[in-house]
Amino acid sequence: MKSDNIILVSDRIASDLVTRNAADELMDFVKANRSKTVILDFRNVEFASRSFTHEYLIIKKRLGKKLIERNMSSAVNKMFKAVSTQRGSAVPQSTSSSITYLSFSSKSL
Amino acid sequence: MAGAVYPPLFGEYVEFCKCMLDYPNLDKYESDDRLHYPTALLPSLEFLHGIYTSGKLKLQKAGFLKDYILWFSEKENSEVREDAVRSDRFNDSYADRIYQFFKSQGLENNTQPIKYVISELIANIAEHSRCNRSVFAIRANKRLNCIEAAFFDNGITIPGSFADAGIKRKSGECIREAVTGTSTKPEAGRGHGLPSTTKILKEMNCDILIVSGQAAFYLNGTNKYLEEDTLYELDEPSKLNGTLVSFQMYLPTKKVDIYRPGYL
Repeated sequence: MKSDNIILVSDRIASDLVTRNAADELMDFVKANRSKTVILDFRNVEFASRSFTHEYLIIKKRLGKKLIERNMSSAVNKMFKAVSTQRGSAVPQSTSSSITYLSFSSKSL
Repeated sequence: MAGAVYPPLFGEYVEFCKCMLDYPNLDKYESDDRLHYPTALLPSLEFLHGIYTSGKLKLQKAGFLKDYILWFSEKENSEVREDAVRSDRFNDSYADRIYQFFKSQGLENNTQPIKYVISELIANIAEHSRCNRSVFAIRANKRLNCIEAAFFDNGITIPGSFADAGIKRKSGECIREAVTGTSTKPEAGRGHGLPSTTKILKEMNCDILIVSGQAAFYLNGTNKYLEEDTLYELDEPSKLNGTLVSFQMYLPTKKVDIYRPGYL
């Protein structure tokens, strides 16, 4: 029997979770659910962006409901871990090390 | 700098500058293939749109821009879309369309990095640019054996975003800092997008160009054309009213694990 407190994320949103708006929309489904504990089933979700994940974690913290994530793929799980770890941490330096500085004038055209 | 040789991406931007400066002779550009790659095409479309709507130039037909976009999109291995980025769920389906193009070019082995890059570039436009128009174009360049993709928005620019946040820098320094991790958003966890995106693209064998306002930053990921990254301060006539991020992805790409510790 299907439980009322389980939300299949790929059905409600998409298999790729890209935008902050997608996180907002997913959380609207969670808020609308009457249960105090909601299970988000991530089966068939192939990708979660940093923006989606960041927004998801922010809303989850303020939600006032217990959220349980299930069946996350390895990639989605790693993104959640990466973003959780980085919240408040320093940004990793890019690979841009040696830079040449030039001026470009349209008069040369 | 007369006769200077530029790396291809910046060279395309220079072609756009020539188009801007020579706009009364616009008709000839319709058949000029120098503007037919995304990095030159997208700012040109924006410029032509401005010229057209201001009434400074009478184009041959009202549907010129639409026809131009349609013409580009019908070229083999090409795709272009207006209003690519808006602050709603439209972005999710749009990201998938872009990804499908890469997939069609045989890049299934780098699914996660490509999806990551697309999502970050879309997020940057949606969350930072305050644009009212954005355009995306992609084209397989068989001659250079690469895929060229470009995202353009006509928003406040990276230097404008820094100025709004009270950070005073020269335009070039703003772009450099955005690439190395300075965010204009106050929340924790921000500022990772462009640094990780450019790092991933470089590792995947890409050269990258970011033009915003009065500066351009060429990030050398291939050593094909330059040995270092190059930051250009642009003069007033060659500035861009918006932000353009483009890259050339040379094939075959190196497989990249974006989830390895400390990488994102």
